[in-house]
Parts: sequence; C-alpha cells; structure tokens
Amino acid sequence: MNDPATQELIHADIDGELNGAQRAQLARALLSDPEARALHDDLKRLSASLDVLPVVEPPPDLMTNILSALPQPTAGRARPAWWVEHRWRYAALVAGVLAAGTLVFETVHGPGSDSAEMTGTLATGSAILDAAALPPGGELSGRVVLYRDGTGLGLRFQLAGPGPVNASISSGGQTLQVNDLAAAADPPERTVPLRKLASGQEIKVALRLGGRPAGDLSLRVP
Amino acid sequence: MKEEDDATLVQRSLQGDGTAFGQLVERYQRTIFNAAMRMLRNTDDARDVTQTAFLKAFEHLRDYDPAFRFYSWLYRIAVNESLDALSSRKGGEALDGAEPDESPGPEGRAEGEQMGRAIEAALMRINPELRSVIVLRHIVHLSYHDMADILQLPEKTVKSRLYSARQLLREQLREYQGH
Repeated sequence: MNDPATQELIHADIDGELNGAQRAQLARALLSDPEARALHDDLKRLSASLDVLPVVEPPPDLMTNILSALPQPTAGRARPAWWVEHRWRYAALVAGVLAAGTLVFETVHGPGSDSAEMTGTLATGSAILDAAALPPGGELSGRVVLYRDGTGLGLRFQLAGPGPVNASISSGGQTLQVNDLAAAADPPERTVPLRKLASGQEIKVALRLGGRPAGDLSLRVP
Repeated sequence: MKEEDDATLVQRSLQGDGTAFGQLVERYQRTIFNAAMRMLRNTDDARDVTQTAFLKAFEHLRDYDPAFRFYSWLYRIAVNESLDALSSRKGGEALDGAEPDESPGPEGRAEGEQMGRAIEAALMRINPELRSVIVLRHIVHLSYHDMADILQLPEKTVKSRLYSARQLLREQLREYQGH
C-alpha cells in the first residue's frame, strides 16, 4: 500500500478532516486494496488507544511550587521611606556583598565556569528544586527557593521586611554570609549561586532582620 | 470565551495581580504536565519542565502577543523545554522505573492496559520531534492549526510529521504484537 494519496486520506479520516467527496474516495480505495484496509484499521485502533491513554495527575505540590517561584509583583507596591531615600546605596551594597559572597563560595568550593559566577535575578531555564517560606504574621515575609539552571544550583531570595535582612547559608560544614537581601533590589529578589552540593544535602538559611533572628529555613537538594 | 478569559488573566497578571497568573497555572498545569510526561516519561523531569515552562511564561509575559492564543504560546514553551530536557539527557533517556513489561501480560490484565503500556514504550522509541506531534494531537487534543502555531511549522509539515509518527508507532506495535 504505497499510494501516498490514499495514505493521506486515511490519516485525514482518523483526524476527522474529510469532506463527503473525500470520504467516498477513501471508501473506494479501502474496498479495492486490502493493505489499505489493514493500514486504516491499524491506525484507527492506534489513534483510539492514544486518545485514551490515562491522564497522569500532577504532583499535589506542583502548583504551589510554581507559584512560590514566581517573582513578586512590583507594580504599584509602596516602598518604605528608608528605601526611597537609600535605594541606590542599598543596591550598591547588595551588589558588593553578593559579589563577595560568590567569591567566598568560589574559595570554599573551587572554581567553576565563568557563567556560574554571575549573581542576579533568576535566569530563564531554571528548575525549582525546593522552596521554604517564612510563616505568616512575622515582621519578615517571603520565601527562599533552591533552583538549578544551566550554571548549577542557586538560592533565590524573595523577602520583604521593614529593614535590611542578612542571611547565613550553611551546608556541609561551610557557611556563607549574605547581607541586605530584603527590599534591596527592584524587583525584590536576589540569587546566590551554590555549587557542588550532593543530592540529599541540607541547606540551612538563618535570617536576621536588623540584627535580630527573623526565621530559620531549611531546604534540601533532591 | 476561553481566549478572552486567558487574555484577561494575562492582562491582570501584567498589572501585578498575582492571583491571575495562579488561575492560568491552575488551568493549564495538568495538560502541560501530562504532555511533558508523554514526552519524557519521567515524573521528576515532567515536573521540572512544567515548572520551568510557567516560570518562563511569567517572566516573558510582556513578550506574549495577544493576537495569538495564550495556550499555544504556553505549550510552545513547554514543548521546547521538553525537547531541551531530552537533548540534555546523557547515555539514553532516563525513564521512570524499569522498562515496562511489553510482553503479552498475565491473565487478567486488561488488553487496553497492555496496549497503553506498549504505546507508551513505542512513543519513547520514536524521534522526539515526531513524538511531540503525537503528544500535541492525541494527548493535548489540538487541531492541525494550533499544532502549526505551536511548532511554528506549516500545517502541511505538521500533517506530514503526524502521519510519519503514526506509521512508525504502528510498525513498533506490530513488532510488539509479533507481526
């Protein structure tokens, strides 16, 4: 059964795309060609089976994970007065601290690719591995997300609070200090690259707001 | 109707309404996860692809052209993410669990279930680009027109790929059935 025109009619029939004249043409072809009939029957069964493959339910936490990874909206958000007055100072400070933090981890974990040394907002092409949120009602709110992208693992901080927030990131006996994480950027999120963490390894994040403990979060590399 | 709804939710998301994008996630996460599962046959990879697809959609929401269907744009991102995930797999494709038992099953196993497993296995043996047209047509149940939009190919090419994919699946299944 090598007639391409008949084959096309068979597929179009399966997809419900034939008009009356084409249906009649196909019927004639099927009557006169047993191979065409076999192909038609096989493809019809195949399509019917494909159409009823069981639906797989997504993991129950999928939607939560997706939403927790989204950048916080900034449109119309009110900024505290200290932020309006000092935003450039804080932005410069954050850039400096994050660069220093990256260097610390470079020293601890060894050199990596150039692209892995970048800090900034979450790059596209990343996958969310874990997320931990601060309990509601506290002075500090938001979450920390562990992600993996083309450059490796990283932590993404989405925090909002009434003042500068510092974080102490500990894993595998190493500690990295990162300062001024909350509300110090626009959009209010920062990433810190991590490298060479093993599957199952825990990452502890201790947050401090104005020098006071503001929450402890724990994430795990899957 | 649905188009208007999606467009409204996109507009609200762009205006900073965090709940609007959540509704889009709720609406499409199941379909995208299932498409990714059929493309990748691995739950963790399908979950990563689904998350990344929505994150990318959100980050690039301002680039979305409302002249096109939102879901076409979203599915395009998901298909590309799935193809990227497949191309980044080393040493073959990582599948959930062991290779499925494709032999004629024990008594009592429903014929339809056996066929389903055989089809899932056969799907993984065909070229990922051909697999993607099968997934869009038979799992996501899209028209040729929508598939052409998503794959950014002429409808004629989409049909040709779909026909080739079905023929290959048929051959795979005939081998399985001992023909």
